[in-house]
Amino acid sequence: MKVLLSFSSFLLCFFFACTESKTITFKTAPIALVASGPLFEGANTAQGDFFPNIADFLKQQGLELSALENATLQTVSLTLPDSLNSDLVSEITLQLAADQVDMQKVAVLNPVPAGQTQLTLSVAQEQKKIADLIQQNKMLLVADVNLKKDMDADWQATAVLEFLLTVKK
Amino acid sequence: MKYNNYAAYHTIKLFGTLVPLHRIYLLLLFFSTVDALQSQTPDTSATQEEDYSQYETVTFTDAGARRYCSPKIFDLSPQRFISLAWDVQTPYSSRFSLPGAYSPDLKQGNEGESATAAYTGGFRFGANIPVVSRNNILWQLGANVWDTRYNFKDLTVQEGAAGLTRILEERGLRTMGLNTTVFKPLGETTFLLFQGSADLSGNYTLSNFQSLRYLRYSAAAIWGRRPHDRKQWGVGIARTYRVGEMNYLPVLMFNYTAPNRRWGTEILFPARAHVRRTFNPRNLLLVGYELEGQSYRIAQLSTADRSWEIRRGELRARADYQRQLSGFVWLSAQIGWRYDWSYNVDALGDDGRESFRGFTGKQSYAMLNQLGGALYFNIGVHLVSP
Amino acid sequence: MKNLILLAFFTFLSTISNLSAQDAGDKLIGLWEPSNGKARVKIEKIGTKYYGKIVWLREPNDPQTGQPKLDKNNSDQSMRNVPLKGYRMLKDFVHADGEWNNGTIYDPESGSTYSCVIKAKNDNTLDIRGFVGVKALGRTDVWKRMQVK
Repeated sequence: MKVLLSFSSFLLCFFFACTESKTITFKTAPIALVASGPLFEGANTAQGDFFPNIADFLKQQGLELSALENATLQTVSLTLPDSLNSDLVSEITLQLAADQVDMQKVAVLNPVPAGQTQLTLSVAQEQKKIADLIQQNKMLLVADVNLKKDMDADWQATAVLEFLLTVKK
Repeated sequence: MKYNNYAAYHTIKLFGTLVPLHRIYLLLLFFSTVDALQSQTPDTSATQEEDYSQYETVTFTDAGARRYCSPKIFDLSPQRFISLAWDVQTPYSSRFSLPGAYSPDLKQGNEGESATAAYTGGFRFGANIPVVSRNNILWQLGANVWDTRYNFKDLTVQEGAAGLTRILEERGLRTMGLNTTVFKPLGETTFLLFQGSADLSGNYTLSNFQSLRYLRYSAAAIWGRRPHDRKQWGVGIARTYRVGEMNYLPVLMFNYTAPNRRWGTEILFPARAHVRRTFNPRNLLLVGYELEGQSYRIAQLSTADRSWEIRRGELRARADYQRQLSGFVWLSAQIGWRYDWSYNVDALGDDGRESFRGFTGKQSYAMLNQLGGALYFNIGVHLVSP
Repeated sequence: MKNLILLAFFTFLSTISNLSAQDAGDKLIGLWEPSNGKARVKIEKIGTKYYGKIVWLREPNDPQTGQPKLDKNNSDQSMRNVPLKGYRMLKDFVHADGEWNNGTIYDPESGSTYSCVIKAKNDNTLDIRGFVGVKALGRTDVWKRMQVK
């Protein structure tokens, strides 16, 4: 009886440990977003390509791609080259898209505070398909930028996204 | 030798140089493939930007294009594709007269039966599917099936009574109908609305079905205007059974949403009228009334030359709460007071032809019946339309 | 002579394949107006899919606040301050078999997203069908192409 109980407890622990999940933070390298000028007052689109290479990242953590259970976007920070860019912008909405996954609206900043070079967007509470997006070879960042007035030069920013990955231990 | 002959035959002079033709073909084929590939995977870097102010001064590319008004305004309670509901009333008193010939001026006839209706309820199914749904015409076809079962207690029966209480308990009442709605916008602000239905109502069963010559037809035609996104009104005329027997009535439609989007009206007078309180796009409350009615043929009372039909009409004052459950599935919960407008019986000609009494007709009723008022509850699940 | 014909054929082939690969799905690109005339939508291609964003609103400001309209009916509260002007209401359309499908259309009035399929009746007219589950349970709106005066 004792042996049976011990063995059962061992099996339970083993089973539990095997299926337990943990979370890891995945922070992207800066991603360039560009909207080519001349630009006009109103909504303009800046795009940037991002290659997640999530399989490599997980491998560095000693995990296989199949261990990935879920992913959520935690933070989105934008760095602008100079404060003039932030002064000109009234709202920014960020979407993630890929060929094989539906576009997802993930973050917004409205209103954009003037005179800033570092912006932190509010991330959506309801997120779908982030895990699917992050497993794609290429992800598109599509930023819809509302400008307060016309601008001759390109609008540029670099985006850093931080994801929280849930993986099987 | 062969090669030299081939070369001499299949070459072309380009810019002073002899070039073998097969190389030209390959080059063109290469370019055509490269072009095709490039078109399929276009440049996804920054897109060409646009001047948004130019979108003010635009025109239709097709000269004949027109704008049409929508059949809806902001915040109307959602239209339903498919509905399933349960309707039930609290107990009430019922008094049925002896069969006879009673003037419409009389309040009640010689008493035949009296009882308490301990249970009155049943399911209601409806479907409304767009056949043609475009911006210049909307045509929908619908079907509905309503079933009502009765359970009586404390029954007292006089000699010569028709036995209606027992008949209702045995089979209840049901109505099945087909209906159609056509919404035709005439332009940006005017429209025509037409509704028609054919209903078969009675205490028939599937094995003892009712002849289609007892189908009852209703229709309404409305001309209206939709001056902006929050108001829609119309006037028209209707042939209706909503008070139990056939009548011709003027119709007034008035759908309105206040600028603050918090309240509004949904009125199709005299059939129904509600004030609406919108909590948010997924949650609303309607308070008002609706008239319901049909003419139900009772097979056991009908004879070879007479079709005995209960002219059942009800006025339901109610509060109707509607909310989204998930996606396009909505819940509705109604609570209200059912007032008996009519439960009298007409003995019509067996050919199914209607007799029109209107507001002034003097044709006699075969039975004069009264039902007491009752609380009612109705809970339903619906698949709603975009 | 035969060589010239062959040469002409290959040149033609190169032109045709270039044109057809571009035109097939790209007919959707441009400025369109829904039947009620309340907005104008610009459809563009991002990656291999087509998206449409609102570029003009007949009533751009919220009458309650006097400020530009926002997506205040979105079921996600955190996304309710996204402006409607510039809003991507058509998303993820893929061109196949003469129509654009697998996409969605968002109705800012109700905050609801519907499945959607687009067909081109001709070069200047689109049938945009938003539906719930099956195409039969839906509504078709006819959009007309607009051009700058």
